Amino acid sequence: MDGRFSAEKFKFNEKIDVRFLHSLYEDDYPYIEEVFGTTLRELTASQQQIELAYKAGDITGLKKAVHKIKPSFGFVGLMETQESCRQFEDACLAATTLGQLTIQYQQLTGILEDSRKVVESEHQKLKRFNTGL
Amino acid sequence: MNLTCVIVEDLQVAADFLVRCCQKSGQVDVKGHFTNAEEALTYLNANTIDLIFLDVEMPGSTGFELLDQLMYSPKVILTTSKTEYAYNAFEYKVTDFLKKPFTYQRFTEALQKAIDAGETTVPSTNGDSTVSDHIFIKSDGKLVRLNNQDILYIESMGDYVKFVTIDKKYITHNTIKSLEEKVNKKFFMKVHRSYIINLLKIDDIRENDLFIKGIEIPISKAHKSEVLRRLNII
Repeated sequence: MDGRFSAEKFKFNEKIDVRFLHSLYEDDYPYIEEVFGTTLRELTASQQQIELAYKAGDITGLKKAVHKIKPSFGFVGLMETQESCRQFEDACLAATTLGQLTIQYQQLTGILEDSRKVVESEHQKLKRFNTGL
Repeated sequence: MNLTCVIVEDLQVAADFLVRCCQKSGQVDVKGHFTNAEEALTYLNANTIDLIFLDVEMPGSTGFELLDQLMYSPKVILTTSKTEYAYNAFEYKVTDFLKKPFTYQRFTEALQKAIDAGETTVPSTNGDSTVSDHIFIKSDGKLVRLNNQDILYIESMGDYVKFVTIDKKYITHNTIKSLEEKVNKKFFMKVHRSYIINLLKIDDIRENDLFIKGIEIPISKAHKSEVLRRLNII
């Protein structure tokens, strides 16, 4: 992680790849706030789609929903979560039954929920930072 | 002059970022954002655009299916999170491939390739009329410009033809046979010895007739299978 960027401007959660975030947005914090806000809305909707597809036993739908949300994590610097989504997509491709995905699904939903909380918390912090509170 | 582009992307944060990159570059005018291929196709077949930023996996049709149905060939920059599509990208001769998320630096490299690739494949005024977005016809002693998108159909009247547009009719000395070679084949096709129609204007087809704005136009047996092949039948 890039300590200079975070220390001088805004202290991001340690799970966020600050160097990568800086390569995307430089120090445009109002825009970064916007990105986190948009991502938060999309994450919430995607988590529901993922759950629905899993409950319906729809492996293709599950893979699609995870594929869609995967780059969102990249846009907020959560590169490990993005990689977890990629691995789950691969698992979906290889799976012939939903049972084969059970453990990975549970792991992924945990990761997604943790990541959503990080995005939510950072969004709130950014709001305060940008309004000078 | 700036390139015109549309963004076809179902992930909002990615679409927003693309808009931002386009604005920052000062070289691209974003004409629209679509979250699925079907809506994008309708727009793209009615408007000539220089460049598409195109996601691959979207609800409904894929980005490649959109390209299959497009009536002209704008430059395409694929935006996807899957490198597995690189081979398809090569096959479809896309200008570049941006893996999401991408940096502004990487965006500008892709954009430069699109700019270097030159004019879009729908040339204007002095270009070959078979790929142009308009034609000029002689009518009432003057040359009149007709945009392809405004022409509904062309009807034979012996040694003359009638161009029927949305709001006017023009009669000019010409033949269907001659015009068949001269009109833009992406938009127009001969459906009968007396008719060339704009494919984008068909409202419905019943048996051996098609209807454009309530006008019944016969489809000859020889042309029917080709008409059906050219339609976007789901």
